[in-house]
Amino acid sequence: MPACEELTRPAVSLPRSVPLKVQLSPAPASTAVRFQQYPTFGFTTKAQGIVRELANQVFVSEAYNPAAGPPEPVKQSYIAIWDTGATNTVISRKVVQELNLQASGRIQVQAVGAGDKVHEYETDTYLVNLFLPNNVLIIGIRVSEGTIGGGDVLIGMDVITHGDFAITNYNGQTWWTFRVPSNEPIDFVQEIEEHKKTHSSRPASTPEH
Amino acid sequence: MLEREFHYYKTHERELVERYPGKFIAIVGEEVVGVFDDELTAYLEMKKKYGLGKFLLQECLPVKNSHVQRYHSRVAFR
Repeated sequence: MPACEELTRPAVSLPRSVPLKVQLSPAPASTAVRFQQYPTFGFTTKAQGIVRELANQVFVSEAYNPAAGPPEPVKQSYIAIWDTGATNTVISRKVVQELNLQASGRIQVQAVGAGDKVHEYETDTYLVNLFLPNNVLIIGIRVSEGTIGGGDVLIGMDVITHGDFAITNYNGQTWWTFRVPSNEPIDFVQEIEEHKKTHSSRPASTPEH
Repeated sequence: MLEREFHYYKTHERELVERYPGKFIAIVGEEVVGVFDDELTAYLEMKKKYGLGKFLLQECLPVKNSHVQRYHSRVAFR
């Protein structure tokens, strides 16, 4: 995992209906961010330099309902890779073994390999709770088992589409940021147009010599 | 694990989706033993009743290939 700094920033939004349950910790009102009415959480990871994989430490446990109280199942820390090319979240065999998970489903997977060949397999699925760095607990997410390059958890689009996810590489430093639930759209084209309008409407200044 | 249950679902997918649209069903062997609104409730109740690894949970979605996931990188399955 690259050297990086993680910041937790409370945010707020109108929550949308999501198939998975997301538990949010309450955000201090004094730190609420713009355009936001309801508490949300987000985190920003700031890598030192450009990175080509987005990795974070997460915790995983067998699925349980936190509202039911103790005892809670064991949870362990793993390196997770964010992957928009994966429709769903995957865990490695190591996670399955260390948490003593038992399959509760099966799924057909299509993996795109060398030469764009699509390989189809059947694999077991497990129900887990996923603890993201931003204090967001995703309860009862169905994950499949596979071999993952660079980590033990692959965070797929099923998690990413719970909120807003962005990556920037300004000044040669990769930052990625995630918030749940989704807050507002990000539109670079709109930002560029607004920037142009703002600057073109300014009165021409006298050049300084 | 659960190959028999998954095979049963795939071969009866159409009728199960018609009968339990949007629900999570629990299958043991070739029998539907529970119908639930959400997967976590199904998991916790079936875990108590049958023990883990003995039941298959499946969402009955009226979408073609709803039991197929797709990966373009980083992951390999056996």
